[in-house]
Amino acid sequence: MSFLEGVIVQVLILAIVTQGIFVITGLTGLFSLGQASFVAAGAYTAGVLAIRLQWPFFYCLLGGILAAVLISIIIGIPSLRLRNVYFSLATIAFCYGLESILNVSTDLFGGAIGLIGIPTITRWWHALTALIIVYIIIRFFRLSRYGRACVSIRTDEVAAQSYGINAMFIKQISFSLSAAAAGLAGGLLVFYIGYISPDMFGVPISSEYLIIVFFGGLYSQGAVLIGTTLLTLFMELLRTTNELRMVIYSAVILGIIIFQPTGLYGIYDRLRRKLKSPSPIKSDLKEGERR
Amino acid sequence: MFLFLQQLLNGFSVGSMYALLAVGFSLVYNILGIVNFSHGATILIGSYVAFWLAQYLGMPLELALIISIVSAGLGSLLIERMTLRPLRRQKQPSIFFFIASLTVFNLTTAIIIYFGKGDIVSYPKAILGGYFEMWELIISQLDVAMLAIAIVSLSLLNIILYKTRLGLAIRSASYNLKAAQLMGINPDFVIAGTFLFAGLLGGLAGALLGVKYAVFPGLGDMVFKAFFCCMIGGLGSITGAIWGGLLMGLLETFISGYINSAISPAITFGLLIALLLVRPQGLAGRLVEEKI
Repeated sequence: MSFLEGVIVQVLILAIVTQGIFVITGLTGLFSLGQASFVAAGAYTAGVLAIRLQWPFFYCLLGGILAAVLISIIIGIPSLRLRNVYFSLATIAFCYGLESILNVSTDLFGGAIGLIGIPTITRWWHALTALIIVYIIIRFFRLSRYGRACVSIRTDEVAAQSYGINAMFIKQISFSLSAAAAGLAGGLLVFYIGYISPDMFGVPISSEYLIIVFFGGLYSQGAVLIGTTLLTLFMELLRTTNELRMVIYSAVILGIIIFQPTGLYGIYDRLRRKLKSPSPIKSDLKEGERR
Repeated sequence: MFLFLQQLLNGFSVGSMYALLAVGFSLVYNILGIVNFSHGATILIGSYVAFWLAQYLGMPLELALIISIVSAGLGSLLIERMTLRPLRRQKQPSIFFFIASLTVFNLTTAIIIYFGKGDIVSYPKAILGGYFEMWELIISQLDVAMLAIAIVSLSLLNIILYKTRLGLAIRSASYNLKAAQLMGINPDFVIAGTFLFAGLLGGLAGALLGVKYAVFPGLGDMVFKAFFCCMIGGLGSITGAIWGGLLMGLLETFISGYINSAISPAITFGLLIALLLVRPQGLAGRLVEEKI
């Protein structure tokens, strides 16, 4: 597997995760700091199914998705009822909890060393197919009544409920959908790198995922995809600078978030407006003229 | 019994560090209602500046620690100036500050790793390495000192908050920022002051953690635990944050001591989430009807 293919697979896997975050954060307005743990859940489930039970690749991926969805329901039922900050809190707790459970269970999950010797099956077309499927599913979800319900909950939960939207149900669906995407990404990841350990996931990694989504532009599905791609490629370009690359990378993202909080999409939107309709008030009317 | 007392002591020592962090976190949350993860950056500054000063400039460690704590406070001011203020000027919703603060935290960690190579290091000399022996208990002088420093600094903060004009301004701003502004309080000044205090507390905790354990880039991740302590204590309550910190420290040490240290995060966080489900307002918080 060439270097280029490695980069492409990484971009695609990361894009699947951030598509999931787009659903929970961009559409529904909830901040999950446990997204990396859903990736871990998918990866570990797929890895265990592959090593211990010798299941075929496709079924392992399905198992990973299923595990992530199940966990999202267990976390979601208590925490989605509370205010949104508590949801972030519960996802942090989940992150720490899962990490320690993975560290302890040496027999099943390999403890702190993790799982090794997983067959490396994932090629770029697997990841690309998965991303296309995820993108299409999320696109239809976004345009369906459920997606619109998500947006209404983000804007005003009480008002949405007064229009007959079952807020808990909708939030749970979007949370599970994002967990499913993360689980799928985890499965692909484990079959790509061939080993997995608990310290590869955690709250800091989840926060990086969130930041990537904001870099692209939180409210646009396409922008999230493009932002993820650009950032990962940018990171690869900086590979020669060694330790300095995380500094440059973080500084660039911080600059974008401060000066244009809506991310790359915000910049694009501003440019488009400037080009398309050069502000009617200025063009039609002269200064001091009344309409 | 001795194990119990020993764990109790350790728990209070760890818990007091969590309390320091959670109070700093809670101060900022009270006023702006934003989750400020850049607090983790101040922990790192507090522990690393002292290390660099003592290691490479040969400064006495005590002096280095004090300078380090002050620079954490100044760093916090700088962070407020560079990230929060532009976003407030643009009147952006607070979620963008949430992300900006996470990014600042990542940026600081990256800078620290760049200069420190990400190694786990310890201060060139130990402070208060001695022990008291009481009955069969071994009491580390450092633990006692840490507890004392935490109590003193939190009492100082209390005096500042309740006896000075700045404290009054901070409290009124945390009650209602807009109304405080109408009463002639300069919001920029109050917010900067709050960030300064939060940064000093974060730096203090970072320096003490560095003295007790070691200095490494992962220290900053404590901020996520501080967030947790702040929430179980009850949002908007400084006393609650202290209780939350102590509870978390005690739970962690007892579970590590009696069950297993590797599983302790899972059990601790599970218990604390269960506590929140029973008492959503936290330990010291009050239930407030949300206005619609």
